[in-house]
Amino acid sequence: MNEVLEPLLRIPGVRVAALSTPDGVPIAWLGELEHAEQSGSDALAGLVTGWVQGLAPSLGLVSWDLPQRLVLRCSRGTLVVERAPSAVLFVVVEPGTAVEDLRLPLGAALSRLVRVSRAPRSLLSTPAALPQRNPKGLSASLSDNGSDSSSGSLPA
Amino acid sequence: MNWIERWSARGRIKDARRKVANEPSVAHYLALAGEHARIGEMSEAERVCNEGLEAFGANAELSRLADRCRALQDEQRTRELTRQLREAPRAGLYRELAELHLRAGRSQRAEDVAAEWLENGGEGAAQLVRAQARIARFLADRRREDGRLAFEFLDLAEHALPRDERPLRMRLELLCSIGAWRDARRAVGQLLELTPGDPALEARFRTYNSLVEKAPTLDAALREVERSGHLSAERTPTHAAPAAPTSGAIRPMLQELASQPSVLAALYERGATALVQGPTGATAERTARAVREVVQRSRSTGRRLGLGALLEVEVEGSFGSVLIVPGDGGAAAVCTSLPTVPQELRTRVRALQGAGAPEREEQA
Repeated sequence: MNEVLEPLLRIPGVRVAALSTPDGVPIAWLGELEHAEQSGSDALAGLVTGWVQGLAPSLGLVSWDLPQRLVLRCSRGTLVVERAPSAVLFVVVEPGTAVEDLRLPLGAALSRLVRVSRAPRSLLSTPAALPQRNPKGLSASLSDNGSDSSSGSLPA
Repeated sequence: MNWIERWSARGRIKDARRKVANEPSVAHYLALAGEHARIGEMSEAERVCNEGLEAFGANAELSRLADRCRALQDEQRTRELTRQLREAPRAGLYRELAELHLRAGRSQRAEDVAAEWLENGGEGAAQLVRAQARIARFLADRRREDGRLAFEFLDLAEHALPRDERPLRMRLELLCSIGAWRDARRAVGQLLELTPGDPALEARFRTYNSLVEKAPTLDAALREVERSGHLSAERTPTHAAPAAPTSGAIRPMLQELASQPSVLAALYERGATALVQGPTGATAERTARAVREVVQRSRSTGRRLGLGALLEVEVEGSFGSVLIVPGDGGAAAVCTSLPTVPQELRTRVRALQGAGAPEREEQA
């Protein structure tokens, strides 16, 4: 998943780009949060997703659904969270960075994420090795006998 | 930059200077500063910006450019100091680097520099810088653990610098900021031992003496700062028992905000009181409660992530969008049916929050 996050981290002002499951298990984490109370992607991803989940009961008054995008603007940085179907993508940016400018890159990252997760496994994984070419004699004998090696009739 | 570019830049600078001299304006100052910045003369660009600021007051563009020039100079100096420290570390370089980091709000890096300095025999001065960095971090994040560590580092600094006023003064300011008056009185007493007869200190001693009775313990004071997110000075009686937000300034602004097309609800709340425009009855109460809960949760999350004090929360979903602007006085919020909050509404919500700030409220 790092290939999805790396372009985000290259945007000026972005300090952290991360992806986690909705229940807070980090999938990928790039960058560093300098002043965080706890270190480690586990704790921080848990903190962010905990915040998103924690807002659900309050926001339940205005909507059935969980929010799609959340922005937490603070004095020393801004947290932007975007929810994907089965993941939470978030970035932390420096104060003063235009959060609106991140809409497109985050949307693109989410689309890419969805594309990657929906692609058939055969396209994503390395294709299996092709069958090894048989020795010349063996192939000749197979063509002569008209049967495969399982029949056990190897030439003398 | 090659000499041809530099030569042509000199020509442009000369033109820009002439324009500033003939017709001084913000645009001409900006153009001149920009030309200097383009060829890397940051100090000159900053000087031009400051001159423009003196002439035209607080102009946002000029201030921003001046800040940017200063930041670039600091960055350059930081790189230079880091290189020099790698080659031959010495106390002055460590001190300057730590100060640069502190000025830029990078308290963690300042503390790292101080720790490295300690390893290289920094002793008391390094301990002091480390304490200073931790205090800066505490004041920004208001976390109890940072406060506790700051006092720990100050203990070490005082131990290393026994007859020095600086760690004691730092301790005194920190204690006053959290409202631990009993310990503050003790710190003033220690300072008076070093500078007997100082009238300012004696006056402070008398003031703290009158506050000692109801003063919380050090731990309780730190706990209170973490819980409320406010320092002692921010919890003056005006803040502690604010007037209900019903004064003339807020209601018309709220009504105007609610009358905008696509606005579903507009509200302003302070403490347990809320003014809501849009929804009525139980829905209004629930909306106000939701805003309060969102602010509380977000404030704690921002602090724990090390992002500092909460300025704004924005939520977008299938329901529309919500913008909440909390502040010292109270929180202003707007709920719209649009997918994002338009810029105009943002400005109005910020203005509403500003109108409710205590000092403005008193003026109204």
